[in-house]
Amino acid sequence: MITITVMLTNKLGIHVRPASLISKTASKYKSNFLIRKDDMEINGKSVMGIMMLGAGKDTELELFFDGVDEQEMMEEIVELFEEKFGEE
Amino acid sequence: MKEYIGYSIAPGLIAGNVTLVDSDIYTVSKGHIKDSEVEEHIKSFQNAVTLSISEIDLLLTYLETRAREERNILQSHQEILKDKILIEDVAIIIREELKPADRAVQEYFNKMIDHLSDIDDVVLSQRKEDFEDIKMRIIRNMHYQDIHIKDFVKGNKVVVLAEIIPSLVLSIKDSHPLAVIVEKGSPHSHSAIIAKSIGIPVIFNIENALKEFKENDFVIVYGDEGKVILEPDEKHIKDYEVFQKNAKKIFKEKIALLKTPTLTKDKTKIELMGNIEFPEECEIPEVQYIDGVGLFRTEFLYFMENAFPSAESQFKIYRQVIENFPDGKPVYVRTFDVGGDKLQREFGLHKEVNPNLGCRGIRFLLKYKEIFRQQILGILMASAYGNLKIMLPMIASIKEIIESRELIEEEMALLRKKKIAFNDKIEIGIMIEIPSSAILADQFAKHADFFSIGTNDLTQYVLAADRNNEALADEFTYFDPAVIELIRTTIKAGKKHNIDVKLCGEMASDPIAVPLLLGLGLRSFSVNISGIIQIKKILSRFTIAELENFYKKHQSTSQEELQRVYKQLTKQ
Repeated sequence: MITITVMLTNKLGIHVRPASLISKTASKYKSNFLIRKDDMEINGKSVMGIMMLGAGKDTELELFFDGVDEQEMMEEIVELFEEKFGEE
Repeated sequence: MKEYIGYSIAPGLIAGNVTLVDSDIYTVSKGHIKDSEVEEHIKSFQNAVTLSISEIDLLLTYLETRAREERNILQSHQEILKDKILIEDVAIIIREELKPADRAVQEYFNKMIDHLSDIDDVVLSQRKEDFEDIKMRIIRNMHYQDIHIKDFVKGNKVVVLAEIIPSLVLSIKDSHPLAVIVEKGSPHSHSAIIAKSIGIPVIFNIENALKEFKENDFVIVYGDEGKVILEPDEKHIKDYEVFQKNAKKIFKEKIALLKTPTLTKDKTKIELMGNIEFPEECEIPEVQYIDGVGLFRTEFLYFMENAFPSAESQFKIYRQVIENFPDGKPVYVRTFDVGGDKLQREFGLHKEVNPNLGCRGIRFLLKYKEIFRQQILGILMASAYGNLKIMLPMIASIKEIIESRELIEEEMALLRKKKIAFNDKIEIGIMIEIPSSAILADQFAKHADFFSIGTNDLTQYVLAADRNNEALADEFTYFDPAVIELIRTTIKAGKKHNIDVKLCGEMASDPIAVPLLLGLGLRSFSVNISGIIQIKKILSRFTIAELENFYKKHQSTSQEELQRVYKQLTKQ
């Protein structure tokens, strides 16, 4: 299992578009993917789940990747965050 | 007396008493369901989600060149509807808590909405509206599956509803009300388009109509203006009575105008046809009395079902369309022009960075031949009932025409073997919308029975300007001299090889562009139905010689200048 902490830096936080981008990307992989914010943990393959986090700008999120292709999955997901979901 | 204004959907003037169809589509069921009903409720929920997804697809096809913001919102709603986990979560509530499907949806979304309300972030809490919207869409689609309007409408009444969906429009038609008033609804929706064809006044977006009107209130409905007057005064009633006396005369005048041949001022015959999307549109007088249908889009067949229909069910639709024209007027059926961007999921296509330059139109059809074959078979079988023609979209090379023709030949052979009737002389033409086909129109003409110019795509590809990019909309138009030159080349090639050249893009419906096209030698226009009368009038205003000279005088100039001089010319 890989655990990594990311910071949300895009202006609008995780609204529908980033949420669907994250879940779509995650769904390509076999591994499990969880996102934790404070005491809330959700399935990162679900748009609804990610939106439920209500993560705005400057929120810290913990990402958990677990499974056969966890490394590749982590790299692609982290890249999305780093690129601010291609928004800015 | 009180006046209400909404969107005019279908014209007409009528007075009568209202009947309220308070179908209560948003109130969810109470209580619990039985174990034996669980699967049925899950199915109904899933159907409503599928319906909501295709409903948005349909909306998106209309919004293509319009509101970008609205598009983005709708697309994000679709993403949520496609979320597998949403489907699973709601199914769990139904199965484990034995809640009726509509109530399960309501509770699930309300939980989300409450949760978001607690978040101290303005941007994020605005998402509540999105969830509210999606919730309503699913619940509405669930409830509409079992509403029958006939249960509500009795006698000659003005029907007032909260909202409307296509199947409801059609069932309303059968109960012959005087007019229809709807509280909500977009003028670009599928319902709106079908509503135009039912032959009675229809108005959308009269806010709070169900609260403002009471059963049996007397109203006058002004369909043309989108206006309703509640308890009209003496003057309005008198005007209405006078109008009713004249109404028949006015309608007759409109029909008479439509029935006269379309001629220029020097009596040159011009072919004027309509662009349609739904079979019901053939019943509109504007379509009935002109020279046929120059563009029958078939994409809706896919979006209605979220799947490509079989040859048999396509046959029924094409036959329904062509049987509206027993006098041999043509209907040009454009084969599916869908692309990888919409079908990625179903076909496991790679994500396309530039879907407009990707696997769409004929490229898609030649790749997924079975879909193409089913459509060809459907068109061929219907060709026995009238003058149908096949129009191939997005042709970029002659090879694509040859391959398509081979495929059509194979389907013809199949029908012959089965002894099923069809027109074996059916014309097969191509859309000229990719620059390569216009540049080499002289060679493409040897392989096509007709050309139909699609100006929207042609402009986008010639100028490398995305047609949906509003920032580019004013500067990159079909008035660009390079686009005009390709249209001229295409018309010339058509004349040389003696094949028909038509134009079915937006440009044919633009009153400013029509004189330019006549001057270039175009003699066949296929236009949006709402513009038919206007274009018919414009066509009759000039002589060909004067327009040819006008074009020669202004041809070497900029798109801005061309727009300006033609605007000047058409000003009355």
